[in-house]
Amino acid sequence: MRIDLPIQPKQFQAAQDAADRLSVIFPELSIVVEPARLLLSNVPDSMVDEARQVAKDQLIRSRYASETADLRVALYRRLLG
Amino acid sequence: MTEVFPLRFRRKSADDILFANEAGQTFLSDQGFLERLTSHALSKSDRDFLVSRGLASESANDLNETAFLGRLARRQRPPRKLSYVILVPTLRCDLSCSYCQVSRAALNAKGFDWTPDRLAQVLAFLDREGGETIQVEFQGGEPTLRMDLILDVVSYCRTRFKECRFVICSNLSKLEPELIELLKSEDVHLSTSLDGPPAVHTRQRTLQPDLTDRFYANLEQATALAPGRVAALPTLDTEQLPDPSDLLDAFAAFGMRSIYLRQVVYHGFARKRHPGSRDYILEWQHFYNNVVEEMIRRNAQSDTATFDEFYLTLALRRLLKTGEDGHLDLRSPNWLGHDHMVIDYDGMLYPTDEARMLARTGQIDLSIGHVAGGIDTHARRALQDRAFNALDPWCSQCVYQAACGSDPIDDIARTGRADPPRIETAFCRRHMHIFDLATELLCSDRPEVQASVAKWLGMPGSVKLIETHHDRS
Repeated sequence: MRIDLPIQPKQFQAAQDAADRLSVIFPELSIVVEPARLLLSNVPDSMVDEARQVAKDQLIRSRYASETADLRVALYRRLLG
Repeated sequence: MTEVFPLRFRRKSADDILFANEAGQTFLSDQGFLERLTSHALSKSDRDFLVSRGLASESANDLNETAFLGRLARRQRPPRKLSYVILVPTLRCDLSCSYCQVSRAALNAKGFDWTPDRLAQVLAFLDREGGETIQVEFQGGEPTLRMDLILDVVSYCRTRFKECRFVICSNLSKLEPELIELLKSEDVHLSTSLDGPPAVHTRQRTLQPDLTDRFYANLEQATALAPGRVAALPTLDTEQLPDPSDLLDAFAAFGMRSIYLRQVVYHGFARKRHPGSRDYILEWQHFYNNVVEEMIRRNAQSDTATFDEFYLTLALRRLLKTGEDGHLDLRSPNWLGHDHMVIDYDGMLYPTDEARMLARTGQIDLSIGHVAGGIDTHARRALQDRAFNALDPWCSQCVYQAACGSDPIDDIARTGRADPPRIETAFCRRHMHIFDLATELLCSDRPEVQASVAKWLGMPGSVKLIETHHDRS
């Protein structure tokens, strides 16, 4: 089966990060980023629900980490003086 | 404007999501909060919760930000002087356990003990590198084969350091008069191996029932000589795990209720004879959970005797507190070769016992110098690249990062690499399992679980330690 998750154009870089990580988590799946979607292929029926949830969460995680990266650096900079 | 200190999340169930920031502040919420957080649409209730708990600031340099940075700073402990040293006065041993991690030498082998010159170098090294306090752990081989060397080190340390603690790791196949005498001192502790009921201990360790009987008699005598100062660790073969109840009974028979559940460690002889120990497998996780559940059940039936699993208690403390970073396997930054060091029988220095094992089996030389020539700071510095989990691309998105640690030497031992994707490592699988269990227990509504958790954390009564936030508006 295939899992098709839509992405916004501005999320492309975060989606690429998510795809790289999902390829480690699910090495048996084929995972690619296309202009408007993140696509997981060869998903066994038994793991569709799990893979969909993990992929959705990873997309959120990658996007949020990217958006908060500057804040994280700034906080460490303040910490280290 | 409300600025939320970056959060990480982990889905615990369809409705419950665990959130934590890099300073280790943790709470439970739901899918709605996750969506509002990541789409910059927090409600007033969300913002009020986050600000009131110090999870967000309302202006740069406000009190919440200062407090957050303070917590973060306490999680980034700088390196300290040497305060914990493992000494190997001899590599010889009188047993030949199948999972021996250190490739011990035969009982009558020559050239595997410290010489008088080596002893002098070791003492000079301790004097040079040590601070005000020291914990000395004697390992081997079987260190009690050289009680003379142990006594020399103990005598020296008592004059050199303000505070000393000595741990003698022995298989207790013998309990010689010198060891009996030494055990009477309050600063001397004994650590041994107890694999469970006699049949299991015989199968895994002594191979002969009469040797097991002798070990049991020696352990009984030692616990009587040094009450509260004798500890035992089980080494558990995942292919032949004991019944949890039998295991706890075996320890309780000697008055021991704090147990560190350990799989066979994938080092030394174990690599060939227990290849299954390479991974952190599901069967082990079930066994571990069942032992903890049995501990909780027994604790509920007793007001005085409390069973606890050492590493789970450590994980609970690390989740809730800063500064719980004395355990080398679970801390970040993990300053290798600074406050903790191993001095082998030949005087070589290693950052950890596992590094010594890797060198002994010829896999990789991670030595960081020699007692005669001192610390090789270049070699030591090379080990620090992976010592900060906050810099790891996987850990930096993990909800448990602040409480977790980094163990590049374990990664090398199992995968041959210092930089495998963290999520694929046995270290990560083990700690995800233990932190998941710890947070499940912290969030449990079962009174018997709350009572055990309170005892493990040294709290007088049950308190809900992980708060839940839901926007009900």
